[in-house]
Amino acid sequence: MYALLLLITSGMWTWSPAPHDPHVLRLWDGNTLAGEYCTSTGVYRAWNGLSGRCDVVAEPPACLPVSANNFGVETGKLRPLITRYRLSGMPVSRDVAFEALKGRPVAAGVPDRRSQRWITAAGGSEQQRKQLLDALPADVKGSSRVQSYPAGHWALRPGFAVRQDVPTLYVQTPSGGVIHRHEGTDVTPELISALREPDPKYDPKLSPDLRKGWPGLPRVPVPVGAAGVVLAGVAAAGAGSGRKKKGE
Amino acid sequence: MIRAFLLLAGLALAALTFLQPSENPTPAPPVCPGPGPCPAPQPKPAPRPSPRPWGDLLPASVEASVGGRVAPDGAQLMIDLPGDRHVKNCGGSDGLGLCVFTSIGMAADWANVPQLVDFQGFMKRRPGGGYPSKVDAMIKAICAEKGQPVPEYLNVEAADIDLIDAALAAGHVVCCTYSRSPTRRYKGATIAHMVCIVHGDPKGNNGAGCYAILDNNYIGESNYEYLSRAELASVRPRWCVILISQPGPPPPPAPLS
Repeated sequence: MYALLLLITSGMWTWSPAPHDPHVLRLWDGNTLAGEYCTSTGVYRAWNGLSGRCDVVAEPPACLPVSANNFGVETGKLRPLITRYRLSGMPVSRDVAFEALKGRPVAAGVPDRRSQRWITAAGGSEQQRKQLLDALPADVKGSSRVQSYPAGHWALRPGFAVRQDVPTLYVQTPSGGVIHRHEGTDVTPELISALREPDPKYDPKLSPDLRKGWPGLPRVPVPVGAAGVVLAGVAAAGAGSGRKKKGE
Repeated sequence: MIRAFLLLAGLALAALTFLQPSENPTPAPPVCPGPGPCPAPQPKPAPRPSPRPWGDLLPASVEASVGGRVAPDGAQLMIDLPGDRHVKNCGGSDGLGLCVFTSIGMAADWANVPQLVDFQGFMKRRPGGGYPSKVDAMIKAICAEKGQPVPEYLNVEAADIDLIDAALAAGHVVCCTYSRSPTRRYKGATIAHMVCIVHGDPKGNNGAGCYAILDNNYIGESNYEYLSRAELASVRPRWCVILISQPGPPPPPAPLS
């Protein structure tokens, strides 16, 4: 297998198969031998200048190389003829899988989370952030994208003013406009009622009337696949002959 | 008897006429009638277009391309994981790659699931290669090692692009198998690989669909591979892993006044 190694060069690091043993890979730092990795034992030994051998067990300083054309999926263990949906290891139906994504199937229109506001607890300790977010009612959190990050997290883009000692609560519009910001773990009833206020731009005319079915969905199920085509053909032929008879 | 003879003779004559090679297989050039200049020879007529009984129902194919954080149709990338958070694939202890765990690690970084962020680091000392039941076992193992709860995730063994659309619309990274590169990375070879789908607009690119691949062998903000919906189907997204743990993705935008 290692005869077909895709050599990965990361900076100056390069792996190559050792000439004396097919199970050993050598790591080079430029032109200098840095160590050897035994694929059968999973042990890396760094170069020892005193002994002139690779005999110091250590962590490999570079990623191990990847076999050519198999980057990490064991296709032999995938079952191409089986369709299966599992939620955290438990088998579920396709509908439940869609529900788990917090939406309905695309055909019925998945609620686009991009239109939801942001509630972010940032900074302070994890316990303080949890306390802050727990104080918000479930309906407010359910209609928002809620996040919690420690100070210095990469996801806090430039502009977030965050303290290490106290959490800061940000409420933002989908495009980032700040609706509310405060420091501390307290949440007042005034803040909750303000977050519950309806959107002034809400237009009732745009709301769907479910008595007429989902918008964009046919009310009668349409046959799908080859059988559907045959059925549709038979139905069309039947309708045609019916019309002929009527015409006669 | 005479009728039979006449019939046979007729058949033989017809066969001879049919089999006789033509003396002039190509038509003779038209004789210039003159006077005056002869017309220039006509070019060969263009081949007739193949019939399209389905009319314009199918969108025209769009060529796959490699690009940055703006899709070919001008849309901003839906899942804009910063380039310095991209993780390059590497091998496990047996040389098999860790693309599955590298992809899930990046999805965890985006979804703020800290227990899975360094999944690749956890797997480096273990045999590489991934498949659905191994993902279940390894997620349990890394969460047990870190003393954290197992996050909610979907393990989908189906080429269900509607589900991929729904996951992307909800802001989730979709870690998905990928059997070849439509932009001819890997020299067009068939490969065993998992990548992250980070953008998906089924109606983008004038109806052809627009999807972006973050390939852990080609990381960086200028290395996204953009595919149409038909091209996405052609790379066999037969197995997907989607982290759906709450609070879930994505990170908030920069605050504005």
